[in-house]
Amino acid sequence: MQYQHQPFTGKSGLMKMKRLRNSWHLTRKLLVLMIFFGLGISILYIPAPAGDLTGRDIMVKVRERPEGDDSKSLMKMILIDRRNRSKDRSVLSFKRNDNNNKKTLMYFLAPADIRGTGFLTWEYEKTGKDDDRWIYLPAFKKTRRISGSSKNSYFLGTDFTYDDLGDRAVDEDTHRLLREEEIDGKKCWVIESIPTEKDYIYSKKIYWIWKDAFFGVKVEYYDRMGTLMKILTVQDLRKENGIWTPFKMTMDNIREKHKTVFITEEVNYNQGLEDSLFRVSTLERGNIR
Amino acid sequence: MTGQSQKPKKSPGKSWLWVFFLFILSSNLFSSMGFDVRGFVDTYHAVRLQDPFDWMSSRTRLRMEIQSKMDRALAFVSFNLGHNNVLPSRTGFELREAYLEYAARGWDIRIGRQIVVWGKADGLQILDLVSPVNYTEFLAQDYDDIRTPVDALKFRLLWNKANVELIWVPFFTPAVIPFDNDNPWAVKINVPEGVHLVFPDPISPEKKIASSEFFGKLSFNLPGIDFALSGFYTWDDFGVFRMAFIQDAGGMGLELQQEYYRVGGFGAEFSLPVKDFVVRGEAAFFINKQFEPADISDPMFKKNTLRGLLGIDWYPGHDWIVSGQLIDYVIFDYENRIDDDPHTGIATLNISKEFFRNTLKISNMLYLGLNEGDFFTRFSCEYKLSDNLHVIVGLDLLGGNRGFFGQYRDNTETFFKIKYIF
Repeated sequence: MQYQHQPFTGKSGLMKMKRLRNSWHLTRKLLVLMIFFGLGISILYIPAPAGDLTGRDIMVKVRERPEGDDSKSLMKMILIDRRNRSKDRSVLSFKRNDNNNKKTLMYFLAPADIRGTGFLTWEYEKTGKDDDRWIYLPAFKKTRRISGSSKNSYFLGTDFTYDDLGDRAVDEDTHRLLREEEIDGKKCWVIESIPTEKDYIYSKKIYWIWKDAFFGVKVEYYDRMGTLMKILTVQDLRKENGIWTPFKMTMDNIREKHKTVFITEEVNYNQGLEDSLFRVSTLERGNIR
Repeated sequence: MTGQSQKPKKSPGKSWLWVFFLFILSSNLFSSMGFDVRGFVDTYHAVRLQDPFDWMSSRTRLRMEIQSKMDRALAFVSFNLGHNNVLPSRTGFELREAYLEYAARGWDIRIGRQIVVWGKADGLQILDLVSPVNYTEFLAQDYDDIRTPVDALKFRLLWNKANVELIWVPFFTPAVIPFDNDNPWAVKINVPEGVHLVFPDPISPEKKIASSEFFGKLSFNLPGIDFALSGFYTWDDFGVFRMAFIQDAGGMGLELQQEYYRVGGFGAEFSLPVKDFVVRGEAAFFINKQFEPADISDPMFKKNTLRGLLGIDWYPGHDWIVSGQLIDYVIFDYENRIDDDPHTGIATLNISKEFFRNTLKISNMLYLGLNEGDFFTRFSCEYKLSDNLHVIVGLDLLGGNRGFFGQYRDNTETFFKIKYIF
């Protein structure tokens, strides 16, 4: 007759968690992409002539470009379908660099169905060491550790996959300097990157790296059949506090006739963010202040 | 006869349209005052898929969540305003949470009515003992609705990779078990023909300091693993039922006297990511948990008990998720005269897939009772008309002759829900 404690349902939340987990991957990758494309301190870099650099050398320098000690930013993603209908996603992000390790705390502000969801990640530079990630879901009122993500999943309807924005190690691709080319008045190196693994979702990517900033201003993604799938273009690139910042970029999914516009609405670098902000206990609180 | 914790509520009206009126009025009011306002309006309806094809649920509600922040302090209030056609006692105002919080650099404190969630399990309760469950509509509710808030003080000491959490609950809050015959999800109790059930008021803890509940947890969040150790000195949220046959004006009756009792114990939990998997585990050891006898003339049995869970989540990509859990409740030093089995096993399997850029979600959650072979499986399709407006349709399938799920074998239903989130 005893009425034991019994299960309660968590099905819908689990799927949401999965979706948001992917969202986190996307957003984290977006941050990585921002770094990749120019959040480093460009004044510390003196561009080298192409003749001195191989494709790999250039990609290494792009990845190694220094960042600020920390940043606080408000980001917005606009999803535009083939009928020109749009949806918005907004994220508040805090980031801190600590001895080559990176910590990021993010909260979704919109849309309403995921507002309040938080993500915490500790990323490590050490090769082979997996990141630590946690998610907070308001509906569950608890924080949960999450794992690595699928490479092929899109998140929240965006046109970014896990690997599109990936912090792939430079040597996971073979890089070849194809030529030099000018885009919108920017002199670029054009680099072809072919993955070393066979089951990668793309057969190749082609980068246009702006020489003056070591900043990728365009990327083309080709599917396994060698057909152009998507084009990423940086439209608004400016220095903020001396750091190159992409204020607007667009991923144009040609195959699906869908776009994702990524906008940096506000960004502040070197705010003196304390390490204590980037704790699981902050995430568990469910709010940030 | 209603369940011990089903709280009567005022019935402010018969039309659910007032919910929408209040939504517009209150959200605008609070927003204009500078508060952060969020919440949702949802309407949920379910019908039984066999004779008599009656409504299993029909409810509409407004959920408001209002908060105000100032520096390190926060005030938060959450409440429901709802209309329930099947369970009129659930119509009206329900305060969910109302607390004040202060967060300092190395500690924080939260005082007031709140929901506290512990543990690593999905959809199952092992160490999650602070906020009791509400089974008014069994598992056919949102996760949030199965939670009962408690009046508590929660204090945390915060370090970089470890926390100490101490919770004081001065007033006992029991789990909600439905016995109301008007509720399709009422617990089924088999009695001989001609015998009626009698539920005296439960024997509850006195409202005094000595009746307080205490919970403590030391948790670590380290690179590659989370784990925690916890202890608790509480009351059993379900209690036990002392049974006796009586004679009253209605004739022969079976009296079920619910009595809550003290129980203490300790537990541990962990979470371990491995590539695209997450392995989770949780265990709680109860000292002198009470069990009802198979023969009502026998006394209650006090036995040490262990609840354990092992789960794994797999994310194979392309918006799929597969998650499984295995649970066992073990009674140590078991005696055959105990009404419960020495082991009670439950397995869960959740399979989900999203389509069209997360616009459509199809999922199925299965609970399987390993002792009786009974089951509850919820299949659902959720379509986003927009980010704010979701439509959900689904099927709850229940089967088995006995057990926690099998008792509801006649409750197979289809449901429909619309949710507007603001």
